[in-house]
Amino acid sequence: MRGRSRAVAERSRRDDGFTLPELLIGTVLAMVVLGAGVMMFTAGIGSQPRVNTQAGAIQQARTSMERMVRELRQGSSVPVASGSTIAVVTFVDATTCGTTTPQCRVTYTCTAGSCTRVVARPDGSSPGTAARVVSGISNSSSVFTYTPPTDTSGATIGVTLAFPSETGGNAITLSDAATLRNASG
Amino acid sequence: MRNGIRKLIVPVRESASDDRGFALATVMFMTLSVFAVVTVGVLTTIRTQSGTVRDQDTKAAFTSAEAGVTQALMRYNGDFNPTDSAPCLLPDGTRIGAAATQSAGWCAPVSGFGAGNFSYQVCPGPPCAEEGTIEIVGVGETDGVTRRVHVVANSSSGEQIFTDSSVKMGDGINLDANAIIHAGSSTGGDIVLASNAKQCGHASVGVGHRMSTSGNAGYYGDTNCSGQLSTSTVGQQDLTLPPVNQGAAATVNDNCRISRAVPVSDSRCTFNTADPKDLISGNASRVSWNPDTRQLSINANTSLTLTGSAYSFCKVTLASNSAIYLAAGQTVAMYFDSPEACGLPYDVPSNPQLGTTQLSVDSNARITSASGTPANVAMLFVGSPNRLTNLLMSSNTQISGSCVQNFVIYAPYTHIEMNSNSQYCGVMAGQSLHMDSNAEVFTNSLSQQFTLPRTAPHYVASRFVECGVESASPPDAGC
Repeated sequence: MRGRSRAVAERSRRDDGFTLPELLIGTVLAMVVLGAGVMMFTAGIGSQPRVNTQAGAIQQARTSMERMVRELRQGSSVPVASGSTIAVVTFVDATTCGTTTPQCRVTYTCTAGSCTRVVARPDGSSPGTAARVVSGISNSSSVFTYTPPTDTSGATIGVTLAFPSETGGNAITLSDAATLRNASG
Repeated sequence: MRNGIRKLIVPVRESASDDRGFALATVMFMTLSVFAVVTVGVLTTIRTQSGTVRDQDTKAAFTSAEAGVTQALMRYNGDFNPTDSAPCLLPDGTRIGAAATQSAGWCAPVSGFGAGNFSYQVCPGPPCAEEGTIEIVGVGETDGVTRRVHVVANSSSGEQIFTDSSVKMGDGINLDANAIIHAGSSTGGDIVLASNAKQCGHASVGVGHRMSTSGNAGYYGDTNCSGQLSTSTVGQQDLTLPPVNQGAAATVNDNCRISRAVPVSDSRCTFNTADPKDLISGNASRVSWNPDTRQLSINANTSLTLTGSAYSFCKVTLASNSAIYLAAGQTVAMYFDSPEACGLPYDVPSNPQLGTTQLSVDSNARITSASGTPANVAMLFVGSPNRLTNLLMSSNTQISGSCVQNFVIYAPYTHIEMNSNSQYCGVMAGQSLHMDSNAEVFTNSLSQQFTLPRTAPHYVASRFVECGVESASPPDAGC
């Protein structure tokens, strides 16, 4: 026991501290590493709000996409179809379009990175106020695809929402499609 | 030279031996920095992944709910004849059988499972659904995500479907060149009136569709074509025409009466003197009947009087002053089997979209009561959802004669074409109607009361909606 204490004491006496070159090199290295770390940390923290914003937009888009596809799926006819606009006569709360029939015409229009939703009577008259449902997309002119019905399949509508990447990489794309369940023929 | 190299190596070796690694603080900073950056990335990825997983679960739950509805429809379309006391189809552990309803007219829930769990509940009719319809609520669940869908399905079996309008067309009505409908009309598509055509009687179009007029065509409020209305007053409503379920009519029928009248060899029939047979007036050689292909053709001033109550045809062709007569007071159902079951070719093989004609009445031919007194005739076309079938009336033809008849055409998959002064009296339902060149449709109250034959119902979905809440009472609340 006494022998072990003596060895520690001798090792302690031999510890003669860092030399000046060691301290300088250590300091420089520490600054370089710390600088790199701070830069990475700052970049991560700085990008977090943008990532949060995009994540929020995508989450909003998911909700809107589900709503869009639900309304398209239970639709009965498609009066207007283009890459940026789709109008479908579908089952929604009839009081929203002031008609006694259980269906209204819902029109989605996408321009300048945003999509709006308008509810009107089945013939398109008395449109309500446009409400923005999606923003921040990069494919406003090619959101919708419409495939007319055939003898063996019903009318199908595809919806694609593309969001530009924050880092310039690949865009994030949400895509879904629905066949009109209430379409005649 | 060797000393020079040694001078370079020795300081490096000494320096290396003195190397004591990074200071603890430096390592701590490095670790924290990397950890912070990685944490941000991981949290973002987890958030993105959780959204994707929920999207997948939502789709799986929705698909499961639809699976429940599909299973219910398949079971209720499987030759099930519901009774008032036991209108439900429920599994009892070993088999599926009829059962009574539970609260508010709804059947007990039925469960199943596949990729996700599903259950369905059926309302088999009043009080929770309209007469002739069933309502199905399907609920799907996947990993805690639930989706609910509500489907209304209609059947024409045993129903009076013409009480509100006498002309019903699923896809649209098109009138040209002085054609006139003297009856109420409804369609799931558009009504197009052109060139002096008239719709005389209240009409409705499909939701989101319209009536359009051109060339002095008009829309009138009564069947006498008085009281012109604006086309903007036309109503909008959904229209569903469920398919014909012919039951056993293809094999159990009175076709032998035709075989005996012609006569032709028919292994399905007896040919005793006392056996009933139909009547041919004129030259019997001008009646062509093939009992195997069920194709009937009558030509040149010859007529056939039907004395039975149910016939099954694949194709009937009447031309050149020929006629099919119905005995006064007789009730006759003329079924036209599907083109696939009949093996009928397309009218123009190179142009299959023109379809297959199953009833052709041409050149002063007619189908009418033998004596002018009322007869009850239903021409029921099974048709095909995959192949268009046609019913053609042209060139001064008549179906019914004086309009006191109980004539019914029910052909939900068939296009009806009326041309060149043809006239029809009764009620009609088809996929689409085109009338041209002075063709006219009349109706009477007898026809409107017609009840389609009660066979095992065949339900087709007419309304599909996704429900807003996950569970409810009654089951269709919030849908």
